[in-house]
Amino acid sequence: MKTLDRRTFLRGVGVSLALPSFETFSAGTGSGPSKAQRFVCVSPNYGMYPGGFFPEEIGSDYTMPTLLKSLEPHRENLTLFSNLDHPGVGGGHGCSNTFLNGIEMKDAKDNPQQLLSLDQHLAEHLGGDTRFRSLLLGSGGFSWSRAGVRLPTDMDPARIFAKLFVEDSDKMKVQTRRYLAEDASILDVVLEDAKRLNQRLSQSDQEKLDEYLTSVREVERKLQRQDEWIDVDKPKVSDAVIQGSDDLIVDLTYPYNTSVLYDLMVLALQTDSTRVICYGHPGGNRLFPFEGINLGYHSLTHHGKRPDLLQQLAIIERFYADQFAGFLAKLQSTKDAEGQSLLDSTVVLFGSGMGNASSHSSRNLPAMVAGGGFRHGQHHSFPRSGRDGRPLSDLFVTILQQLGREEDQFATSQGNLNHLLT
Amino acid sequence: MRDRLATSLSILALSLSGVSASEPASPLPGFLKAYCLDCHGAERQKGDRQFDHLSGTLESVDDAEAFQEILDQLNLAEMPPDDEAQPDEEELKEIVSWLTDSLAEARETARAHAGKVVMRRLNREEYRNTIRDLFQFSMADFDPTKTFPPDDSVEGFDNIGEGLVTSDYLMRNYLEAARKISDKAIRPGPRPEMIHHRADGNQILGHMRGLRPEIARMTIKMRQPLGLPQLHKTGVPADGEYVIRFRALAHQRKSRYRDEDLRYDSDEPMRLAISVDSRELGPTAHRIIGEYEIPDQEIIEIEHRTWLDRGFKFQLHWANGPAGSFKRIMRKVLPKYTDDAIYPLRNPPEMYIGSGPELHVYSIEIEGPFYDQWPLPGFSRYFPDPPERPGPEYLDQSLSRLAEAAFRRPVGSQELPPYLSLAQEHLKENGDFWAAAKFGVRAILASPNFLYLAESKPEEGSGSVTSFELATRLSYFLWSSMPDDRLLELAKEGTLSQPDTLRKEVERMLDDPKSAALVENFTGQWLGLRKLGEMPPDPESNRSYYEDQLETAMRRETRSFFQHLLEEDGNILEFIDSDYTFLNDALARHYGIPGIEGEDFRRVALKPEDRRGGLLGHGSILTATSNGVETQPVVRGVWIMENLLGTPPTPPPPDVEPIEPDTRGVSTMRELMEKHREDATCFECHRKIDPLGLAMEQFDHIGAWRDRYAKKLPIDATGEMPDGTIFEGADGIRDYLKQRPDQFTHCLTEKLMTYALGRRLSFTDRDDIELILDAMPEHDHGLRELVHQVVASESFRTK
Repeated sequence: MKTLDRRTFLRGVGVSLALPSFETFSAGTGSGPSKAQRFVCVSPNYGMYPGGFFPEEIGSDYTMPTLLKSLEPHRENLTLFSNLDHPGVGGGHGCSNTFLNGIEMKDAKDNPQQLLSLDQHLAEHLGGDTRFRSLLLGSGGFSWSRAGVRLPTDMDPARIFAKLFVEDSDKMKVQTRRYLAEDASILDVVLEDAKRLNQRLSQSDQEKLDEYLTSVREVERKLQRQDEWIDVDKPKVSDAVIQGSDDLIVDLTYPYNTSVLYDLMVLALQTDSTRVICYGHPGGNRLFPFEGINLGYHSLTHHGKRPDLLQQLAIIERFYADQFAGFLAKLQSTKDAEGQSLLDSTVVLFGSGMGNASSHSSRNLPAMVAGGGFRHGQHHSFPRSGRDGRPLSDLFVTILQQLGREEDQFATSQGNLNHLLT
Repeated sequence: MRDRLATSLSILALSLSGVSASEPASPLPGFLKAYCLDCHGAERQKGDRQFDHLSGTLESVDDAEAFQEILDQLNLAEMPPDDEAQPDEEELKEIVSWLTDSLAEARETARAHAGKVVMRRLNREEYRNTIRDLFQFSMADFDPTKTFPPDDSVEGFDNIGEGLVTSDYLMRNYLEAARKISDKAIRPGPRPEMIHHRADGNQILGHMRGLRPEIARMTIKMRQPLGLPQLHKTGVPADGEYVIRFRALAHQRKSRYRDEDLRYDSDEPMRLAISVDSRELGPTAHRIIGEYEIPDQEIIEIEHRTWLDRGFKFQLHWANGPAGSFKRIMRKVLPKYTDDAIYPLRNPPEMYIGSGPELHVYSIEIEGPFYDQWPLPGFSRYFPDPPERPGPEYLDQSLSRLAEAAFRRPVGSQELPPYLSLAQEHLKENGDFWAAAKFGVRAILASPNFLYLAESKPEEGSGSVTSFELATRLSYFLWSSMPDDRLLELAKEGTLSQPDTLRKEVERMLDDPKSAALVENFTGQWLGLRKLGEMPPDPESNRSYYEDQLETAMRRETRSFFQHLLEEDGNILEFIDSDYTFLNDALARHYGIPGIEGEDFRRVALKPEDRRGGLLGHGSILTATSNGVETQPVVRGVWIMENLLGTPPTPPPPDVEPIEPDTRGVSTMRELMEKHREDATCFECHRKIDPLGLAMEQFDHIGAWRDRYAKKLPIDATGEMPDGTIFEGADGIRDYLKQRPDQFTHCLTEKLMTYALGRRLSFTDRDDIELILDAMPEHDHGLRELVHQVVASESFRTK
């Protein structure tokens, strides 16, 4: 038997799964072993200081930029890009939220579907067999549903752990099932009522009510999906990841919980609880508790090129890069169902819709891709004509294809970057 | 404003096509060609405006919006720019009157084919208030909207239909909220059992061990909570009103320790705070519910009545004790005064206890729940006198009563049966009447008729709102909540829309405490007060900002000011300049105004040299337009243009790369700003923004006055507007605004109208705004009158 239907398998065995069991069946359906099956995006809201992020040299012999020094061991597993951006996206803080869809909300009024972000588009296709279609963690803001709604995130590590790995009591399961059934019949009634209301409304209001009808139908689908998973046992995982142990000190306060979240992400992928994860580092003006920092984060991003402020900002951004490097190392040493390293089957994208926080610029976005079975090891730079570089969405098309989608267009793409990565 | 053209008015386009200008030969194309198209034509589109497609006739809503904008620019003498060819007076007169006429005609046509109702759902705030009023809940400890996603704003307000989208995530939240609400509302059966718990001295949870048994003591501000052990695990057993009693004494307020060592003010009487929280709901449920002064060396008994939800418990704290930790006192303070104590070694608490200031608590008690009425009014309103064995008929009647209240109108005979049969089936299957009732309540609260303010399609020829729709518009404008019984009664009689009645009702509603929602939500959004706190100042270098709770005080000042004008029908031009404001001691100190004692807010007369007249002197606005570290003159300039002048600058065009600030070697804000103005594209707008912002530079990032920048660099607060007006400082801006009273009135009217209607304004609302502008001088520009005018306007009363 080459692949098992996951749910049949789970139901048939009827026992909770220890981690190694997962290595017996393949993730993804119908995708060859060489292609990736998972997608992870990590995005710092204020981006990264360009002077410390982009290498000076092109090609494979580039010197690792100052902020990314800790990524040196992963050089052969990652690719850096210069001059990728989202054409049409203006500056301002809003641009952070456009990282995965390349469009601002104000420009999508007539067609909110355009706001659908890369991760959610992928989740529709990769998430069918997993308990969670996608996992959105941290500060978020850059994940958008097909209905054009910015999606909420989970921030609390203990909650995330519970959601993924803690089994509800039988009593709770019975109650949940009852609630789901009741909610479903409530939705039937209100849907009927909404249709009646619709006839009394003017045309423009009918369009508004359409949102409600769509939402109700979507909830119906989700209730059903949740119901199907109630009796499937959650994978059993030691809670040392959030509780700590003699060898592991766990700090759940921000920013120290960053490594905890990365550990949870590895576990979620390893147990095939989801195949799509986004993790956002928040903005705001918090004072980072690191040696050498005495100004808030937001204030530091408006450094005006003053060396003392840049130095402080670098402490924060290097912390992000160090944690990210640790995540890549863990993905590499963890095996997926086919005995391949998780890193090879996971496309990892790091970047932000904010190109340069100091000027709120949305040009030359920080972007780096790791893993996913791509050909790595280089820094690519694209020419800039006038204000425009190469659309970041070209990279997204290549990512889509690597993940098994036969699509040659996404958002504002004009082509793809297959020639550089595959 | 360009996106204003893309409103949901598409339906109007149909009815407008074919409307032609009255003059056969239109002067517009010629005028545009001569004065506008160089910058706003096919070649260039400065400010993202393009007019070369405009013909001599008004053909669509987009055209109408463009006509209106051109007319506004000409009237304001903003365009053509000074350095371009100018039309002569005759030409100007002709084009202005032609545009005015065309628009008037188009408006008439559009009105006759009305249909610009914009249905909108309740926003979070409105949902919360509506639930409060529907079930007469005390919402202090109950917030069913806590997990709702934040509402997006359009035109600066979060009650605009267009921005209030519904997602499946929100829908699931509605279902969950309905479940919680129905559990809380449906409370049949006997009155819950009373509890009476008491703890003395060392029985009190949180007392310091090993000391005198009859006293529980606190030595540190807020960090040594005392509570009742009986409530620790489970909290109170049922929702209801409880009485909390405690006996306390202030011990040794002044001691041998210096205030600066203890970080404490020994001149203030000690204050004890009561807080509540719930284990189930976690740290976010924690709130202070009361504060009491405790006299020196004399035991005082205090009784505090409060509503507590099931599962909540309370704690006592020392609200103004020494700041920091007990550990700090032991390590850093004690060794300075006691030779035996050795820093940094650990010293036993007994070395300090008894010698420093302490707040002593002798006993704590709780009793309750008390109910004025049982069953609860929000329950018996819909389920009056439940029979011993309530049956299907009683279920139908009760749910019908609720649906009528929840839908804010009489319910049609077709609408209700699905909801009723849902509950009936539940009853038949499970035999549990109250479970079935809850189920029905949940369905009603998930209905689009409850969640949306939906108005029916207007009849052909008559665009008036129905009397129930009017009641709903009124109550969500003035209360951010559902209409009360009286409004619905008047709607039923059909008398609400009579001008006298309407005016009387507005008066009544403004006098009702629920109108606090208008003050809060409107000022929070018009003036951007909600942004206050988003970029908090650094705690280390802005101590007083936190210790004196200036943020709260600042918000309070601005709200009190608005509320005062609303209550007294005060002149709205006092927003520009006034000879009074509202302060407590801390804020007065921050402003450098002497002689204000005590933390109560009161009206304070201002002298011109106090420099705080009108909104421009309010710390709230000065802080909200800064980034916590420094002032942002551009943000302040834009704020003035947008909120006082009503002429928001267009955002930087997307094809212009923002300039990265380089502040190396630049010493003042003005030098920095001059650098970016070197760019011609930036200069276009920044010549209007920057002078306003720079003139405000004498107020620092938390609104304190400064004569010089930090490094003794002088502040140059002069500004020159594009029209050549030169002014200096905030006073200069005040004078500039005072010379343009109509412009400010127009701005505030538009903002209030947008908020009242819950939609973007369109060119069809222009007549109403002009009428209001004309009327305001007769009424001495009263704010209360402005509210009346908005309510009486055709826009408010028609669809």
